[in-house]
Amino acid sequence: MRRLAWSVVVLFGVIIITFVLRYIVPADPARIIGGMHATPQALAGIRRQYGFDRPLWLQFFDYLGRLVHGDLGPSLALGIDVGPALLTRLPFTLELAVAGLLVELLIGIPLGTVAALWRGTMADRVSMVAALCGLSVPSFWLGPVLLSLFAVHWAIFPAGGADSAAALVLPALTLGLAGAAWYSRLIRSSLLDVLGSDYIRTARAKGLSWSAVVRKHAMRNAITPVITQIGLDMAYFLGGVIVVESVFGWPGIGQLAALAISNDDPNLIMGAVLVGAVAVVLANLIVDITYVLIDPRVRLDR
Amino acid sequence: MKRSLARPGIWATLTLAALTLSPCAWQAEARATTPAITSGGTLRTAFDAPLSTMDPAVGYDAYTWTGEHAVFDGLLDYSSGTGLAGTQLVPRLAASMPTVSKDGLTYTFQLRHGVRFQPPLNREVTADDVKYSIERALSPRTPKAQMVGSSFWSSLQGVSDFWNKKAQHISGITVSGKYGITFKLTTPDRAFLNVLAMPFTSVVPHEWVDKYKDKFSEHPLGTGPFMVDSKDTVPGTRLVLVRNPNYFRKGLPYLDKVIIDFNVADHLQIQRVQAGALDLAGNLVTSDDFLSIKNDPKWSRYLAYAPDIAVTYLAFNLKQKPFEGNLKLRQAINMAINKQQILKLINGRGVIMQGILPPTMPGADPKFSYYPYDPQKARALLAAAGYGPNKLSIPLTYQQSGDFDKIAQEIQAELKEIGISIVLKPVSTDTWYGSVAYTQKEGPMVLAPWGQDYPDPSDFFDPILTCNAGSNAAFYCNPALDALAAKARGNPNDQARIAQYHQMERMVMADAPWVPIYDDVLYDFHGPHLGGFYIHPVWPFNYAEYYMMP
Amino acid sequence: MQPLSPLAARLPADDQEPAPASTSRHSVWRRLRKDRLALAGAAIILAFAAMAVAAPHLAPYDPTQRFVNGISDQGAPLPPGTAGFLLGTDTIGHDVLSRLIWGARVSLFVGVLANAIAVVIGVALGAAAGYYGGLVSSIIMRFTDIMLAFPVLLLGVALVAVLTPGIPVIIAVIGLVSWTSMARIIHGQVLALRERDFVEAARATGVGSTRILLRHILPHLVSPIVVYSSLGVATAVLFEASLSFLGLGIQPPEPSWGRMVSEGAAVQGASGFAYPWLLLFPGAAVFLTVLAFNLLGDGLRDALDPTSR
Repeated sequence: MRRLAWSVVVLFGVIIITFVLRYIVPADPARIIGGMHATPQALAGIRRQYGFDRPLWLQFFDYLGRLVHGDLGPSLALGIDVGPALLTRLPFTLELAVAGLLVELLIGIPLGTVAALWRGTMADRVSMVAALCGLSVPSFWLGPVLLSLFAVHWAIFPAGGADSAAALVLPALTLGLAGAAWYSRLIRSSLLDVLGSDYIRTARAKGLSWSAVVRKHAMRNAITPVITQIGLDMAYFLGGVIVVESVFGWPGIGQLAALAISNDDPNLIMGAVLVGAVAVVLANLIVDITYVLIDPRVRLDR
Repeated sequence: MKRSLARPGIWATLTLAALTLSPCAWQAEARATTPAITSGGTLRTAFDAPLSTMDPAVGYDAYTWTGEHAVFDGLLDYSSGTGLAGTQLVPRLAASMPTVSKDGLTYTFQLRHGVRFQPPLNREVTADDVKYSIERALSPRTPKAQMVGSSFWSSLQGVSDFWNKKAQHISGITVSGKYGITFKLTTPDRAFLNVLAMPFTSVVPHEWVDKYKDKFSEHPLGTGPFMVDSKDTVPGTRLVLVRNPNYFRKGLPYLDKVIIDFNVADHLQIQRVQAGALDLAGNLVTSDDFLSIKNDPKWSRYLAYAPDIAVTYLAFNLKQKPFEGNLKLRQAINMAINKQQILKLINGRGVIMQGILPPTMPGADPKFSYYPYDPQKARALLAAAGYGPNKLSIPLTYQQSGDFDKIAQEIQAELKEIGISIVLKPVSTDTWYGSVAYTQKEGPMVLAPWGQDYPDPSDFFDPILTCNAGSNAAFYCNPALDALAAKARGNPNDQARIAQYHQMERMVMADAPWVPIYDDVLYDFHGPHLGGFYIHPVWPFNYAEYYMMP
Repeated sequence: MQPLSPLAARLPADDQEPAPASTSRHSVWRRLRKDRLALAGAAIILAFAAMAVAAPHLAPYDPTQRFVNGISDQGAPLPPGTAGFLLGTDTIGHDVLSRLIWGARVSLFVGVLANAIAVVIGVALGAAAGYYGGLVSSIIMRFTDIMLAFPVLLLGVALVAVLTPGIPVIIAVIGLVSWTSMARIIHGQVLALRERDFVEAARATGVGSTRILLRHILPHLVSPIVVYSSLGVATAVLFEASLSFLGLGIQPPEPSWGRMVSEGAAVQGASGFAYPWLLLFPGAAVFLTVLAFNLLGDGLRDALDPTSR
């Protein structure tokens, strides 16, 4: 329950900050909308239309009121409203995020587990170096390389777009590879910690085999930091999609944000940021709830 | 790019002379062996940006015209075919070509009977609809209407009162009965029929406009071969067109459906065509893709090309610093642009231009030249203009499409050599056409294309270089030029007319509002299953005539 | 791409006890010297730094200079090994090698400065929250939570787009969105340090809070700051390159690795790998730089706290 209340506070904070960035930070928000060479009359008109000439706290309540109705303002470039535009694209981004998460977990956890169980051996060192390399590869490089190699040169996967399940593979790989490396290291250290604990040693002393120990006891405890990380992953993903979706032409909110940049469309950009932050907060909330369900012993007070 | 129309009549001879070589070769490309055409199928294509509008009163670029041409019709249209073959005017909603009075001032049309609007409206089109649509396109009350004040229409009787809101209707357009419509001009206008063939006059239903008002663009409904499928269309992302069951030209369209995806980068379009996910790349082939396709024997035969009567140019905003009032600066930049190098960047697919009229335009002077490429002189002029080396920084705005990024960077490098630093400011194509082009949002300098609306020299002056022109990127205004342009537009003597246009060309180049760079050749790429594809000189895609092959 | 370096954001460990006393300079150095990967990282960093500093002398040409004969007559870029262009040219006619060398300048400059800003903010906020506790701590840590809700790259992109792209703006923006992990780590460290004897002693003798923070606590924070700085620079370099890739970073004709990758990706043409050098070299440059800082940071952390391996 406290988590929920806390999430609401965070959400409110997000809204405030977005408002600040949208209306206060730019030197002259009217000029941002009107363009570099807008005439003074045009600027005055914009100020009146958007209410920039009203006191700040009044503007904030207007903003809040509009948000409650889901009105994120018009997209000046696309000629449609920001809210619906983002909403239609959100499922695509979520689909990509989930796929990316699967990539991270399906590659990262086994890799990290192997490294932990065969600690100190060549396999361990190689996989950890590989993980470090995976962390360092820029997704804006990996994406085009994968695209050129596997979608154009060898036409195994579709060259971008979201028309088929196969189209999900390369973008998900690009998005998830770095995270996979991260998870493998996380699992490795977490598992090592758990394996060294008394609890495990007791289980071994009782005669349980290694695999039973690992499967039944160690993994369950080692997995908790991973679950916490998943919530934070959302923040990383929603940032990463702006690159991955552009490269692959995946029609999610990241691509829209990239378009908003080249179109000089502040409403759209800020709308994307807001939606992104909201998604992160919700994702974290879900993760926290899952956490509790998995391990009821965890206390949730701060 | 703005597209152009063609003009029949006296210019046909000159046109033929000028384009003798080209159309034959290009037509041969288009008129390949035609197997039996099967109806049905879906064409999948894509553009790198959304259409900025579907409202015929507003759209004025190749993207929007392609979309509008699929959904709307006007009194006249162009013949099918590429190059010259696509420049003949043909009746569309008109039952036949109009009768023109002896003095050339009255054009009388009879509408085809039984043409109906698309479902769900379904009612028959009448002459009142035609008058309504044209008045809407010309009305100052229609938001963003492009033709308000346009010199294209200045010869129409009663139009200036209409523009000044002194009259509710245009007196020069009269309706007689259900199907008769007459246009009365105040002076003879050799381009009037071509103007009528532009999509601005497409017939729109007043019920729909009244219902949707300024959102009409999102609910377009006309008489054309395709309708917008609002279920599958996602604004800003995808446009889906489906066959119009009411279409009056029997047998057309061949396709059941056209799916146009937006925001697909041009090189990705090529890749998707090769992967079989698209049938037609909607954007022109960029120079890098061109080289790799051309050298690939498997794919090079799916490159279609056509001459473009167009100019890609740098325009100086004469209403802003630093170009306002500084002729020497504009001349300096004219002499600093290495057009040969720019042509190399686009694989030599084009012709260098030194003046306003593309060499492919009938009446152009093939030997015209004005500013030579002379960086030395350019530096001297820059100093004389009041700017020392590296003291001037200018933003350059352009649509981020095709090869424009490369060309802009090349221009940046060339101007750096004479000591001017350029800041690149690309915008997406729909933003360019939707809100930047021909407004003060352009900033001081732009790189822009202009394609012919019709192969007549007046089209390269009236709409872009006269004082009231709607597409005047430089905001150039020279009353002497306007006077000469008005005379030349109606001049019945061909020889004298050509001389007048040459004179106008020298006039403009002397003022240096532009740096004309090149006239390109258009290349498009499609997949093996698309049949009947050709690049039309005006639309440029005629979806109604393409078909799918197994 | 990791705008938030995963190693830096090992949040479950943010309340970790500071390293035990065996962090004498000598033993740290000895451990570091034996870590070959960390040394490799340091070597790469030094190489790039040298490249950045010596750029005007090292680069064969001006990176913004385009050569008329730098493209073929057909308009194609020249491959590596062509006379005069060791790593080839790009589609406008620039020398790739020169642009790579000068690109190091930008990347390292932005990376180091942006990280410095993030460190300053993060340490200030984290230390204040850890030391003063109570309401101050609550407010600061809640604010940190709110900032953490924003997808970092998206926020950075939005800020740069709303202001105008330029090196100072980019450095400031990257710094302003990247401080959260440092803040949390320092918060944990200070929280633990606060209870230590020497701090109690200082407080008992009446030393003011700020002095305690600066004189007594800060020196103990040096090792985590150093470790996470290394990782922070990696993040910042990646961030700048991503911004450039999206067109928001360094504007042409100034070279930037991220932008070079984006241009390289766009021209690979219908065969997929028409001009591989345009895509591979700049991407490799970013990769190696980030990898080097990650290796070094990893190595530093192990050297300063051997128990974490």
